[in-house]
Amino acid sequence: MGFANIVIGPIIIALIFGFIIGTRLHLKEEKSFKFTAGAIVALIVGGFIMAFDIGQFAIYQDFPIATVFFAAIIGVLIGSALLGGRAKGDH
Amino acid sequence: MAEGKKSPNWNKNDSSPILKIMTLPIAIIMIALGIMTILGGHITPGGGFQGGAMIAGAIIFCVIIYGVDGSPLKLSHRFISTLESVGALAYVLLGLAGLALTGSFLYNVGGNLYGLVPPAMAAIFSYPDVTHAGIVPYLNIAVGLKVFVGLSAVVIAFSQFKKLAEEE
Repeated sequence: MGFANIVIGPIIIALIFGFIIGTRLHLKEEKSFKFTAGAIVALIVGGFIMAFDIGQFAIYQDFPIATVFFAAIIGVLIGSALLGGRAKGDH
Repeated sequence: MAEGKKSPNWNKNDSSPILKIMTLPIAIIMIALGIMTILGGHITPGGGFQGGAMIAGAIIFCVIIYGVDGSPLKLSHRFISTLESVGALAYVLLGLAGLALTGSFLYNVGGNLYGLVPPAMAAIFSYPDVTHAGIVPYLNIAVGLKVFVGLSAVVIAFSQFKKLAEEE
């Protein structure tokens, strides 16, 4: 157990998957709300606590937190930060 | 419509402040849980459909609370059609890879249980984790993409019908 044994493949796929969905996420919507930097930090901390409670996949046993879950949250936030404000939704 | 019976108005932004504050963080967590369910489909309960439905649930949640126009998760028509196509194509191409290499459609080329594929070719389709599940996680991802955008598109289309009915 440790950083050296982390299964990196699913983490990368979760980051990409989260990034794709995050590109459609507007954290600052004028009509309804504004998602502040403090809220993002709270979300990351809350996500980390959740990941710790969930635990790793059944037979991975490489690290005590759900790395895929946490990577997905980070991917969504990165995608939103990089492309979310610029994506033009038309629904 | 019957007198005194109103359907929910998804185009109007009249939700309570508590819902507006809490919905987006919960939706992001739901998306992450959905992705986790998709990627763990080969070793834990769940899979592509279940995870995709969870992600679609997050989008539906936002549409209901913030309204169609104010929703932070805006899926464009092009985005939906692209992901739907990518999901379907990925599934078919993975199946055709098995057909081309072994003669069996959807043969697990990455897992290569019967040793029908050269090891070098199996390594290309192998899923990078300790389970050596082959193409099964990739099929889960393809199904997850399709279900996520498919279910979301249904709800977005229904909400647009309501909007059109109001404009008439």
